[in-house]
Amino acid sequence: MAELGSKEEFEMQIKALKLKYIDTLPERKRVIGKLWQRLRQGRFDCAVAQELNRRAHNLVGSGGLHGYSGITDAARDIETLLSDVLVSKQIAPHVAVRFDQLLQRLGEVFDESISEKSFER
Amino acid sequence: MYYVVNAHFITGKEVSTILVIEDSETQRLYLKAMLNRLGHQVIEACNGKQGIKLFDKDTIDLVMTDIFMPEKEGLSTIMELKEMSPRLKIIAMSAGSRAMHNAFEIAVEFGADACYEKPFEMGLLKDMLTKLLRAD
Repeated sequence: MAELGSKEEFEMQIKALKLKYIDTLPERKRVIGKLWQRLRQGRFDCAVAQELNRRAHNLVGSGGLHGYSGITDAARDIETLLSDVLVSKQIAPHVAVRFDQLLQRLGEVFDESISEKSFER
Repeated sequence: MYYVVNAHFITGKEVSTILVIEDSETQRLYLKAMLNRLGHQVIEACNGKQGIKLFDKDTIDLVMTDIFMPEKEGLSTIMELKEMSPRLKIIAMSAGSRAMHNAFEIAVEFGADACYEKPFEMGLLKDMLTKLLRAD
């Protein structure tokens, strides 16, 4: 396979994607928080749980991609918890507490990644 | 981490065309940049439905598809693509997690030739594609 384009060009593309990714984190945090609030209210909504699971799964992949292992780890714990919730189709009180803790952790690693952004530029 | 299930004949072309089916724009663009860097042409699709629509067996040498996607998810996409083109090589991709390990096994049963656990890494990706795209 013949490699195309310069290494510098490739690295610039990757850096630009990373910065763009960091810009998406506040909105991702907002949507995940909102979905969780919706899920814990009233009857169990499988579609909301699945959407939350999809978003967590996406973060598992994208965090690692950009070198943010903290995002991957936090999102993976959320995904694991949600896979149990999707089987049981209910949110037990201790699961809700755990979910709150994991969301807080996710928010913290998001904030760390955002604050690192100034050094990336 | 990745494993190749079936690595023989696809193409001996210098530049291959790869259809990337991935719902995450960030991950899709990242993978595209890596594949371009490795010398491949890339066609992008944001879900299985679009991927099936864009698939052309005469021009596409290999498909890389995410497993977990909205609209039309990866497993049924793999099955449909294999029905359309049995010799097509398909790589199933997913972020590693407990829930996804079964999905890799199912992806292989549905016709995936290899599975790739994200995140993407240039060396692993190059190695995998070399094995899958080499001519007999």
